[in-house]
Amino acid sequence: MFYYILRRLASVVVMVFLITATTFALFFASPIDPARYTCGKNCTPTILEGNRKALGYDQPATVQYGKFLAGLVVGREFPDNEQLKADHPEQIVKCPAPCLGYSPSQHRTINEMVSEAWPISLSIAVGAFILWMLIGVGGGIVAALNKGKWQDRTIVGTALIGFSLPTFFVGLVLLTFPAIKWGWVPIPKYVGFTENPALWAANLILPWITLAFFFAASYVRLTRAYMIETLSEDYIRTANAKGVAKWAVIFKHGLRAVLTPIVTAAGLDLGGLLGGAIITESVFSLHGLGYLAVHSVTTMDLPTIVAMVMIVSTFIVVANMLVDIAYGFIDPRVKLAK
Amino acid sequence: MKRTKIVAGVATVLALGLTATACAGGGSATTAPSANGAASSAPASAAGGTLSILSGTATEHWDPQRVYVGVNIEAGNRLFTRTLTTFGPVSKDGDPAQLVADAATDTGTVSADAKEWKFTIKDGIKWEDGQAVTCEDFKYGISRTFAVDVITGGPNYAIQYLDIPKNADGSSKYAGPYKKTGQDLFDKAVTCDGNTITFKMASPAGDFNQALTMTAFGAFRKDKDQGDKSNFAIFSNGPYKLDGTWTPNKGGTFVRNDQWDPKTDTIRKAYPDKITWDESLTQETLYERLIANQGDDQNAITFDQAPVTALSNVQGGADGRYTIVPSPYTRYLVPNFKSKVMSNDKAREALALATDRSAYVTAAGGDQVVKATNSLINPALSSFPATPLLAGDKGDPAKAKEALQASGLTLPVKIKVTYRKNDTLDKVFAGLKSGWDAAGFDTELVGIPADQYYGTLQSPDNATKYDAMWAGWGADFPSASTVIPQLLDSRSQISAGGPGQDYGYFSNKDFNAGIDKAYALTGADADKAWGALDADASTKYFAVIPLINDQFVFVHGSNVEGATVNITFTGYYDLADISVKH
Amino acid sequence: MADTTAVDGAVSITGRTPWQITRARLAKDRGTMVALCAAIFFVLLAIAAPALTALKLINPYSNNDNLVGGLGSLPIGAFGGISAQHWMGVEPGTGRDIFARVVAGLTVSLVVAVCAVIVSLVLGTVIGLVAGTAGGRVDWWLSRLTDFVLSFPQTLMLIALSTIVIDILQAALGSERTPASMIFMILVMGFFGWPVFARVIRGQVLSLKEREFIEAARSLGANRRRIYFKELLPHLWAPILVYTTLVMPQNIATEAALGFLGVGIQAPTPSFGSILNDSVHYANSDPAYFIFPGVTLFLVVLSFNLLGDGLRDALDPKADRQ
Repeated sequence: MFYYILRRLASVVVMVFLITATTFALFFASPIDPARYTCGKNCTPTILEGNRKALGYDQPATVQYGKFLAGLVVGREFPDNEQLKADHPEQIVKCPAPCLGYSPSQHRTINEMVSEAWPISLSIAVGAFILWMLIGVGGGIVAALNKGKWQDRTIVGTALIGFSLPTFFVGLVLLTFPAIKWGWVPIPKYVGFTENPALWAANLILPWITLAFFFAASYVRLTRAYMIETLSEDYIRTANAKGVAKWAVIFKHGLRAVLTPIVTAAGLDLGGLLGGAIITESVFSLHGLGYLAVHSVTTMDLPTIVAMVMIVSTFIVVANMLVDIAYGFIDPRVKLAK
Repeated sequence: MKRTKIVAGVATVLALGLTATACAGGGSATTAPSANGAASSAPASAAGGTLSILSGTATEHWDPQRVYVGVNIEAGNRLFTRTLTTFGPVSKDGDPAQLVADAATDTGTVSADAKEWKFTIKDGIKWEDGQAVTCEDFKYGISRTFAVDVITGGPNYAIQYLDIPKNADGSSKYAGPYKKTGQDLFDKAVTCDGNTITFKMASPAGDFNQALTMTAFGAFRKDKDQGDKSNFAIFSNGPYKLDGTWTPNKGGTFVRNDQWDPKTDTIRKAYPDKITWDESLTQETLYERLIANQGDDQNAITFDQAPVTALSNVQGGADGRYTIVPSPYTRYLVPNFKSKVMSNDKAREALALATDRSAYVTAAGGDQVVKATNSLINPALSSFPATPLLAGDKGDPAKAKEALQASGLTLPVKIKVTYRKNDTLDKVFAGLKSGWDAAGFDTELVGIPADQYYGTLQSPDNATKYDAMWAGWGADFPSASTVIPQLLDSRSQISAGGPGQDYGYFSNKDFNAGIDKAYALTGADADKAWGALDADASTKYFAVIPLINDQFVFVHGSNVEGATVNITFTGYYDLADISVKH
Repeated sequence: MADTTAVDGAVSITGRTPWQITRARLAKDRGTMVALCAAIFFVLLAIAAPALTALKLINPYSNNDNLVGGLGSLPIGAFGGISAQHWMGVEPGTGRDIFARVVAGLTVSLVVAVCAVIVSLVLGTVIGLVAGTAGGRVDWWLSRLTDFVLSFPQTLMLIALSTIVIDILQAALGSERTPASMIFMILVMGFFGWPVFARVIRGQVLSLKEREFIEAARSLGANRRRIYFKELLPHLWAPILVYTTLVMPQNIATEAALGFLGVGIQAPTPSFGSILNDSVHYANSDPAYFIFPGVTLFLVVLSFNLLGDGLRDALDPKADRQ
């Protein structure tokens, strides 16, 4: 098991390295001149050249990537200019390891921006996760147990509707009516959990419901399908025949088998969400990682774009790894290959 | 909550009774009228409370030398960056403002040849750490504009006006206070003698004291200068200072600067105790909140324009709290002289004749908020020539087709028109396209995202890419010399690095000679000269096709008083004499 | 598969192919049949739209300035300007017919979604087939490639790459921004969609590989191409169909979501995304403009989802019939 984990960790590192290298290549090999976007109006060639040098865009992509990697390990300083360091040290921005880069349009290190955005995305993801798992898995079990009856049909129907409604539509309706027009909840604005838990939850309830709407629908369908399949297995019939209590049959025997694919899917979905729920954050103007990523694209803030792709991919890859490891623990039938 | 609603309802009824139309400022609340440039005097009980500024637009710079956006010029000047001269507050929306002294003792003494300006700095103006604001601070601040590689984004009037020689490529021989190349040249152009600062102009400049109202001519403390890092590090000599730090995309809070002496300041009343600035919102949400007027939002104002989508709700829900004023902005179309089609005179004329401005007006929200125009100079300026539309509001496709056929080009003439992408302009250009296509053009529309728009237009790589480009421009201060030369003088704009603001590469010797003549004139003669140039540009050379003048629509909360829009000075709510009921 | 049917008291056993079984099950499932009809209706409408526009029966592009007015240029008349000529009302600011725009947008959205699925399907099936049959090192590398592509955040990459790829495509195509943005959506959505198919196909192939008929074919001297096409592919249509029905509505929804963010298909070409991108802002002042296209999108996605569910149930050999 231990060696498996080590090997998986190694493959995570390799994967993230490959992803960042690809993203770097994609953006720095593009026909767009990255320095142009740091310049704004009335850009003279002198200013453009100056910016290009200050940000290191005049160096080949491989060198820039090397500096980026070095920065991750030991930290960096911006601008990377020996002369300036000697004459005007107060103008140098220090970026401690792991340095994700410096955003010329925001005049801040990406680390700063990420550390501000990260708690927001975390709050949204975790809250929505708990909500959708409770509703989704619970709903799926109820539907499976009442297969064919009105409870099943209602739940499946609602799930289908929830699954087919676009997230931004749901979010907008929730924002327009309960928040703005009726004032049932405050218009979402992030308040830290440590500052005021009650306000934190009240402000996030709408994003949670928006996300949970879609995911719960998805998990209802998933759980119901797996539950029905499991309940028709022979060993369940045996357990029933043996006279085991109904609840024990469902939860001890039935749910155990369903858990594996559910945990897999849940882990991957949560991993993806931690990198920022782009649509939801956009609709509710919550400045999490998703918002940061979109904002960096609209302003063509290349260092931030690369950093964001790296962060989100890392979440996905790590989530994959964790899920695979958890697989080995949950399902005794799975022997992790050497 | 209920009480305020009733009060608001009564106020609305009163306001409805008192005002006739919704035009220039009819909707705003109580303001004591005042004749001269001094701030309107509200009772002392107006002091206190917290003003809340809601914003959907991220502030790019607070560094005074890097500020070029009206909102930040207005807020910067009224809150923490005093300038030698400024425009005083007004008592009613849309009233013209007077040029008055701010940090200086008067609006300056100019030499007979208009090549030298002298100002004396008032005593008693202090920075937030207690040190006095000196002539050296002003000199240092102005010098930072020359560090063009670090201090980016700001206006370069200092480089344009001051008597410092230029290099062959057009850049100044003075490279700023960090590199110090040419420092002696700067020290000759700007000199300090005790509290007296003297400026030497490169050419006669009768309106230099108007340019000084921009924060780029504000003072800066040398020991606080951290280059790019100073971007949001506000260090104040005005009535407010930044509490803590400024977070981009989120905002910050301004509290009283106890070192500010109201006796040295006839302009700023500084009524609120605290000013919070929240820029994490979207335009739509913030307007919904302002219209809903709940809780703290009753103490709120905004510098953001009402989006088209909210206009109908503004009229219904914010009665008595909204204002419609002319903005300094003109939107226009630039035919590209470097494109094959548009280098043809008749083709440009055809495009101008076929332009359906009524489609623009409708798509942008109706004629209360947008007015068709055929002049680059906006109506607030005295030099406004009111050039009549050549083919009426809707354009004249038939006449245009004649012109196009006379051009010798094969119909349909394919053209590529680009604009800054947003929902409203998408609709505007769909309408404009119909008009042009009816005249024999085959229009392809290209919408470019806002952040990349002007950069794309100004890149020399795109010189021949588009046939016509949408653009917008507002006068930096109320002189046509900040409009016509900035947009159409090929000598100052076009270079190897791109077209500057002359996006269409218009270059005409006679026109440039006309500009020189206009610069040398003053008063009504200057107005006439600039007006004639404007009319020539749109009706003789078809170098520009002016489309519309924007009107600004603003809403404020019900507790806010003294919220008047100063159309001379940036065109936004003036923070100088604003207060909140508390 | 044998099936017993009672006819006149006598029991006769008739063999049915998997396809016939599927069709029979489908016919019995009313919900799915409704969804199928709806889906066919939408597809036909999408196909007919360009013809209808050319015949001037619907007009998504002309302004009707007289139908909007007032501060904000909202539609004159109740419910967003509904009338006999304008079944869904008109667009604020221009007066364009919303029904026409929704129909034209349906075409664009469906074309993009279908083409993207085809790209994913073809790429994924080929890779999955090769990985499954070749085994060993080839399989290992292809699986790593699949993991690699899956690790990219799809939505973020779509947004991030839009400007760059569209510029490159435009330069290659010469002009006409619309096809460039449509091709971009198809290529990028299609590219990030193939791992799903590849994984499924590979799994199927691996389980089929062990079956005797493959061994038999190989021992008879069948070459690889024959094995792919005649032996394997016929068994793969079921999972391909299932995943196609899963991915199609997702593609439609993704295009709409990207349009909402302002990425992807650009004006003046209507698509669900670009229409909703504008109409969301009018949710408070002209709700009809938001609701009509929104509900239409919902119905389209719903019918494809329901159809997909029904197909999956019909194709599943283990599914309980009650």
